[in-house]
Amino acid sequence: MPAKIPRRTTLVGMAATFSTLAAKPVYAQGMGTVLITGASRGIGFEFAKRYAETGWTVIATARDPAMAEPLKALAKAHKNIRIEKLDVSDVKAVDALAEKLKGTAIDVLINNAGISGGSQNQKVGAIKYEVFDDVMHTNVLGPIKMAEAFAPHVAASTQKKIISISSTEGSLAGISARPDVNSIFYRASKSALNMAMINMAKALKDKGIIVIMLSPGLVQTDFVGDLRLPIMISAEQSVAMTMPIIARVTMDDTGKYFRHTGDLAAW
Amino acid sequence: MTDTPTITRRDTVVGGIAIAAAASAGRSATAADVMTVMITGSNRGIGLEFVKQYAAKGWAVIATTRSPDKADELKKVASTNKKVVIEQLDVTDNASVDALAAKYKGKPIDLLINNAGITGDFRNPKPQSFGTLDHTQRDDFMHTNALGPLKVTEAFYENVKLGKGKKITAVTSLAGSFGAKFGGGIPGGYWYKISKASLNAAMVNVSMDAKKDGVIVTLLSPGTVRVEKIGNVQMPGLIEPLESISGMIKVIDGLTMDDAGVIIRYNGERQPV
Repeated sequence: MPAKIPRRTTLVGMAATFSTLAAKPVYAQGMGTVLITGASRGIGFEFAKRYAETGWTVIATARDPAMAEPLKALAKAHKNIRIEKLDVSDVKAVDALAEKLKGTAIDVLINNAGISGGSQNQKVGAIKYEVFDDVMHTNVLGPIKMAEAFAPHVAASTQKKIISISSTEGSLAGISARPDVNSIFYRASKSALNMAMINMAKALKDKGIIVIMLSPGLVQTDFVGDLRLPIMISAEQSVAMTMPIIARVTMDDTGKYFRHTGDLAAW
Repeated sequence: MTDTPTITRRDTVVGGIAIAAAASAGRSATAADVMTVMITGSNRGIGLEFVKQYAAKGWAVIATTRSPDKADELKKVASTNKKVVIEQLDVTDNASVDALAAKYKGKPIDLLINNAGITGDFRNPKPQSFGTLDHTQRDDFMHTNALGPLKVTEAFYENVKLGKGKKITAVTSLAGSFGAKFGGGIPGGYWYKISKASLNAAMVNVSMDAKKDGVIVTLLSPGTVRVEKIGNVQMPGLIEPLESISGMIKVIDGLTMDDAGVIIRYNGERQPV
């Protein structure tokens, strides 16, 4: 039998929080269980770290946990982190994990796993079509499938939030503003992700589930390669800004698309 | 100006006089005047109506369809209008797109209309509704509605650059736009909506790249058109193909570079992203 995370953990965590509420940052309030996809590095890793440090129960997924050394080290240091192997683009694998975690309430599902597809593959005039499916499956269909498979877990929780990490690269206005970026599939995938999420927000409203999209800012991770720009922020900075947004959103915000600054992003 | 006629088939059928004139002038007599449009998914619905109306305007039409054998109505149109050439093309098949592009290499195309698309069965919403999504369908939607138009646009881009019209459009949908009245407000249709959102983003991206060549790339939103499979079903806001397509042709006629990357409805309104 797979080990289940007892619901009790969350309640104990919440009780512990009340005594120190004033001293804790906003995202420490109402601790619960968070599932983060793509937690091996970058923004996903930072979410896992920050939530774990705050006392949340963290289910951190990675395609290849064996290779995720920093995540393994993090889990060693924080007993409230549980690592699960998951490729979000694999429909069967998502179903299997949902089944394994059946009965576990998940307060916050963070659809973070994503790929860029490589800028060398996405130059208009020399597009490498073979990377299209990978980008779409991971960035769009993965989050859709995750939300579908884990909606019961989220519905059974206290906070009931599904967060998808999007990008202003997927905003049509953003595309027009930056013609020189070679990321046509990535952009198309994030616009599609947003479209799926605004629909999902409606579909899940009855269940009390809040669905939002977050643009993390231009974060300096492996994702952007050697690109260095003044507006870039670190994964730590990004997550420090987005966790309070996740903490404060209510049903009034469902279907909204936030920048890391808290402003609404353009579609 | 190239000596190559726009479409070989057209010039053969223009008649002996034209060919003789072309021969004496050293080039096709009509090549400078006749505009050429390529329309994907021409066998029925919006694509077929585009073919009929452009043919009626005297344009040379390259009408593509996955299965010309089954395209009876299109064949009928082509049989009475020799400027309509039917070509077999599956926009999801890169080799098929490249092969057709090779056939037309060096020939100007004034207007490319990426129309081919799939909607799914509107009487059976389940495969595209949250909770019952059929994940085996998703690639078909993405490949046909988003990737196909991109591949066709890339493959025929040089032809459009050679043309006088220098216009590329893709047929999108209200369902591909954000906002309560659009994709966010209509229930279901997940695969269709996300494929159109992807198409929009991709074409906006291409529109930026194409500006330097003077090629205008836009998205057209046809409205809710009574295509064959809708039959006699009554729906609010439903319009007839004639109205939608004549409206879109008017929009295309009036396109300027200011419209690059914009979604324009059949009635000329700009559709919010």
